[in-house]
Amino acid sequence: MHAPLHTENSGLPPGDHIEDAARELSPLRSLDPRVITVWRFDALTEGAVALVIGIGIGFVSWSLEFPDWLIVVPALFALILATANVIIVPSRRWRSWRYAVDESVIELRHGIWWQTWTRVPMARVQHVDTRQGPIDRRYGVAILVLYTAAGSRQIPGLARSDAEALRDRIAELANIRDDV
Amino acid sequence: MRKRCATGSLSWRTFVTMSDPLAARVHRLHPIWIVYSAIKSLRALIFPLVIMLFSGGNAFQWFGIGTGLLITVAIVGYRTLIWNRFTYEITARGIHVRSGVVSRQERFLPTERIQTIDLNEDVIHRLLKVVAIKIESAAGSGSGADIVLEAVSQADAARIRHDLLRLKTTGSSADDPSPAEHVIIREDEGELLGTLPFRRLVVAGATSGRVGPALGLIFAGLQFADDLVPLRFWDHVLEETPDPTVEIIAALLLIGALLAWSFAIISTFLTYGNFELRRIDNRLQATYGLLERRRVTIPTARIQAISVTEGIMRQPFGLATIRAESAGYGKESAESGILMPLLPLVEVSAFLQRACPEFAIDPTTMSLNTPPVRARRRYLLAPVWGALVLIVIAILLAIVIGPLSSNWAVAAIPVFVIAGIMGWMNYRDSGWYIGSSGLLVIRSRSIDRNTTITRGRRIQQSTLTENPFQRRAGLASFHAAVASGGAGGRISLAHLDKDDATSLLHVSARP
Repeated sequence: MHAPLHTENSGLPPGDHIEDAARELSPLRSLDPRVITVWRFDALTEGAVALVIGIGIGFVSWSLEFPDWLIVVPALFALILATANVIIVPSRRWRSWRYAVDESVIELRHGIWWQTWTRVPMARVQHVDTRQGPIDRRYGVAILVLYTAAGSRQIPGLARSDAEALRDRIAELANIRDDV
Repeated sequence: MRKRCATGSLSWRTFVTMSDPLAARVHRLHPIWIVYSAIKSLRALIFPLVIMLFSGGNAFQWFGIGTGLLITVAIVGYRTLIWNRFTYEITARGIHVRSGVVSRQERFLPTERIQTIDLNEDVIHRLLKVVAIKIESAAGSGSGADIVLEAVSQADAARIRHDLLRLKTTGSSADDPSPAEHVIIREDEGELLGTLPFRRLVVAGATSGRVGPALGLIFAGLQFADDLVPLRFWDHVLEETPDPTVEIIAALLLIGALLAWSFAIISTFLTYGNFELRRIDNRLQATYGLLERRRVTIPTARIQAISVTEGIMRQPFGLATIRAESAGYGKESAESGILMPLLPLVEVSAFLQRACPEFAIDPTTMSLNTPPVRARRRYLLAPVWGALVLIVIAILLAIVIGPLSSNWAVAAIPVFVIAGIMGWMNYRDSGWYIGSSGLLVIRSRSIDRNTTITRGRRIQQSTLTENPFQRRAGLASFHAAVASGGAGGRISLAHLDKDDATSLLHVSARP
């Protein structure tokens, strides 16, 4: 039983904050920057879907003769959020993402405001996949999905070759121990 | 598998040699399964249909009857197709099941992977004189790893169990159980770990807080009274009764509460009557239920965590419910992993010692690490914020529905007070303990106080989360999950000191 990693809670910005732990693992790595563009496209798609729903709601609200502000204010609010989601969020999210893989554990850290730090013991990994959507393919990135008996975790935005290499490495490491 | 042979024998049985003593044949379930499954899927529909029949105008009634008939015919038809498609085959290597009308499924469970073979009957099974066979694999955890033959005749069930057991012991078939009906539920195997005597059953019912079935029954009763009893009668009753005073309303509420309470006791009797927990070889087996006899078998090696739940009505009496979170269980219903429906807290330690020593702790003497004092405000306020949102919604609704009397604002005060008390209790009860060789105990409260006992190596993934406010205060929340479909498989502890949370993260995710 080794001493817990001590994480100093300093007032550093999120990106730096995440790197400050003294580490015994292989170094924390960032995602491929190309994923930022993919996320922008994802955000645009989400925005488009929201727009369609918003138009639907607006139409219903108009036909029911609700006051105008009841639809205009939320619509403006949604527009601002959607714009931020396309322009600001993807690069911030990329900066917040770190992952590390060694023989015994996989660590994922991410989150701009709500930060999460997840550890998946290598021995608990049941299987591992890479996944690519059409936009991922266009930009040469892939998503790595780890499955345990209690659900799955993703590392998004790895360069395709990295993702495949990591997938094979995890599969090999996880197979060494096959106790349930 | 495009081509379908009329006989049901399938062309690719290549691995079965002709000298196979079992002379592998493709079987179907007992045809009564169509009735059984139709009843099961119609059961949910019966209540709304009855309401439709007894309420509304004539047209509505005919509509109800028509829809009901149509749905019944459709269900029976579809079930017949499913029945026709569902075949099983026991070969020298294991059991092979093929099923699916639209998308086909094939499942093969090798004999050496078979963990348990359970024969179960529910009420419908008893009426139709068939049994269900559940064949569980050692791998468990995943969906579809187990094979369930939902209805086979009792003779077939005994034969299947006999065949599979014989195969499992590779030939040594001397001590096989007699293929009589008595095989179906053998009550006397193994070491008896616990029962639920009459008095405890009553207490369990009285403190269960089960209001769901009671409310349903009362609602049905009111509906019935409203529809069948002529309106004149009610007018008469209203005339006769004095104006509703506080006393009368209080009396009615009291009667309602008493009714709900007795229903809770009755339904607990039906669910947990004749409860028995036994250890048979390396598995725990709980058998319970008066009408519907349920049996749950959990291999001890597959237990991921034990949860000791002290219900809000049980905690004052020092009573708890003990469940096992097990890989492959928990998806069926909340009570599928039950080890003891009711046990005094002082007996928990001894019970766990006997039932699953790996997770034995004494919850009465254990001292836990706690969240820091600076987290108290957050614990206290979290439910208060929740209450605030609810009250705002309620006020908005009240504005929309009708004129708002300021008197209602007074009603909000006790809601806030209760929320604050809940938050404070949550703070007081939250805590953790890290023992030797990866023992991890997490206690928290939502409404009931819950103590989860697990082992670091059982934890599949663990997470630490921080929101900006927590970060400023040096706090973090800890979450972990063991392999279980149930909610009890997820452990969570909010607002810990960041260092403590980090050490939990490392202990629990230790390989």
